[in-house]
Amino acid sequence: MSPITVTRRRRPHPARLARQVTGAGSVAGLLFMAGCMATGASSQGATPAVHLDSERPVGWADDADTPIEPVGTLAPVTRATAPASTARPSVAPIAKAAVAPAAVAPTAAAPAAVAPATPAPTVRAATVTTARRTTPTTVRARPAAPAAKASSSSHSS
Amino acid sequence: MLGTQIWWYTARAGGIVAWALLGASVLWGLALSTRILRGRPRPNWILDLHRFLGGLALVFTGIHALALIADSYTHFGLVEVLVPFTGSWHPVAVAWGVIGMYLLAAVEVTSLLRSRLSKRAWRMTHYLSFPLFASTTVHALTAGTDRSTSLLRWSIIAVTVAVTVLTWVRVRAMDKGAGGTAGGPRIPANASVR
Repeated sequence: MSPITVTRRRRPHPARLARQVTGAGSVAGLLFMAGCMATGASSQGATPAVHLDSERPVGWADDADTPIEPVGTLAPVTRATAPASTARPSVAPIAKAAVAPAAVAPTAAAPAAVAPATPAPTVRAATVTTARRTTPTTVRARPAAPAAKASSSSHSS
Repeated sequence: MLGTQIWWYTARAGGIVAWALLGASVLWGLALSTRILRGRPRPNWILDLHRFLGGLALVFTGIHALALIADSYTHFGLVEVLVPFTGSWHPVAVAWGVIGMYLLAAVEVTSLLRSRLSKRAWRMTHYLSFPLFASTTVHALTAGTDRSTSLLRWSIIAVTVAVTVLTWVRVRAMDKGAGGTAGGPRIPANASVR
């Protein structure tokens, strides 16, 4: 006499197929959109640094109250005035350096700094080489920046 | 090159997918409660998909948040993602998303614990789905980098209109009281006669 084995069969989900389709479609949608963003960014400009500038979150550095530093001042000022411990330079050194851009020597990391000063759209395109590294630290300088933010953004310098 | 930006793309795409899943879940929930589809597809099929969409929206919200933390461009840390108004980049716009994340978590957790909660408590918490959808929509329109994309904008408008119409149908059915078919207690019509 064989023992009776009771096997519990789990009730399948009513919308099992719809679940699978929705789950796969969501993942595919994420990958598709990410791929479109990547290809769209790569087709917009010649250099990858331009992609970063064009994809900057709206309002990050494009706010109307945000002054746009002339070319030749942004990257060198950040390097020359910002100590290693503080990721966010104050606004004053930037303005001071902007007055005397000739004193700023171009560096190898910022070749765009040698370009002459141009209006805003051209400036953005020219400074994008260091935009990802320098622009957020410059724009996001606030009077009452918490200490935690300095450590969180220090890796960008 | 792409490796440094992949988290940024993942964050953006994950946020869009999470919002779409949330909108679909809200629409299915409203379709279930209003019974506007008149039994086709079956209510348990709609309920199953509604719950799955809500859970999936939470998963993609997590992907959205984690990708923002992993990305080195926007400088979002764990505190900025979890606590509203702590970030320096558009704190109000980001706060809508943070609040929406907590509302979504509350709705999901109470739905999972539905058998252990009173019906009133679950229902009251589930009503948070409406401010949840509103806050995430505002977040997408104010903080979203792709908000200027016409496809996304029209999708947001279409889903918002659909949710608004179904909500109006739902509220109107509730106003009808026990005679309404939507959301009312499932009591036989002759129960009060006895």
